Amino acid sequence: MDHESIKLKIYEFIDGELTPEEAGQAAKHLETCADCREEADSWKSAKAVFQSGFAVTPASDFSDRVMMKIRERENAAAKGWPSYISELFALPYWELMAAAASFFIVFSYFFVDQVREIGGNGESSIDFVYRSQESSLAQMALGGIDNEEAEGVPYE
Amino acid sequence: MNSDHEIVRNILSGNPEAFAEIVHKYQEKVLRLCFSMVGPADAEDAAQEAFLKVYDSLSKFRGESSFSTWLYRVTSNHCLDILAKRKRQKEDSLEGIIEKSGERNFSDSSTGAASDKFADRETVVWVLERMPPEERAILVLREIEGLSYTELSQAMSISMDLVKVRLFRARKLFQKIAKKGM
Repeated sequence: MDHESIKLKIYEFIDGELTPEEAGQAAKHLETCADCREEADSWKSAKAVFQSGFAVTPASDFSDRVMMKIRERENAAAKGWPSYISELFALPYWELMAAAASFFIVFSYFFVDQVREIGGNGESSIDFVYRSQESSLAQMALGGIDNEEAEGVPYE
Repeated sequence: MNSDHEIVRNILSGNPEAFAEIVHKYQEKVLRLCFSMVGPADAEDAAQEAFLKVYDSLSKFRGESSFSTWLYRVTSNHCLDILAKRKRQKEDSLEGIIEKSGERNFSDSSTGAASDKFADRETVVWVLERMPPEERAILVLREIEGLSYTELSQAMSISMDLVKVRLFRARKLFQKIAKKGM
């Protein structure tokens, strides 16, 4: 067993997670190995700070505030909001943004598809208008149509 | 006093007010875990949110572990989410750049014994803040909350072997950061 593996066992020994037999071996090693002994002592001092230095006292109204939020949720649910809507707004911001972006992409796809249908033959309505104008101008240039017709004034 | 399982059944059968008993019983543990995971400034908000998550997830508690272990799991996962969010926000900020380069003296004497490094809570908090979230979580759950290896395995959803290795690495890293800070 290499020294790092023995050190791992030493920490398990400090934590009280070894079998009696393993604990005996670890204690024996600590008697003879100064390096492991120093590390174990150092960790025991850190452990003491962890165990004694982290006492926290919740504010006296802590549980009241938690319960108030729970009551607000329960009341909102009772007012008839469908649960899936409440769940949607409870989602993290990035999930909402991802959902909105997905909806926008799908909507855009179908919208563009519809616009293309207007022009026929796979061309968009904008292409269709341009093509009509170009055709009229070409006719004008060849003298096949007068200005009034081009501007939409009907023949008398 | 009712057992945790009985309280959970009571809540799920339509009595949300029974959750107050859970909050009373565990508020100190949850607040302490949040304090050591996300720091003093955000601890109380994090603890309140953790309790709300616990309430929302009560139907998912199957009783495979003790209620307190499950509570630790929900709370530590919530704290990890907060730390991940904070990391994303910090990465591009000036605060992040300054913090990465910042070091601190633990004591006036650079020749102090190894045990002097861990003399106070501020020092331990300072070192914890510089540890990766997963390592921080396992160290806090073990050393502050006193979870056994079996409970750590359940709370973090990892094998016993991984608990031992991750805890060993976390302790080594803790000491390394502490030494570097001196």
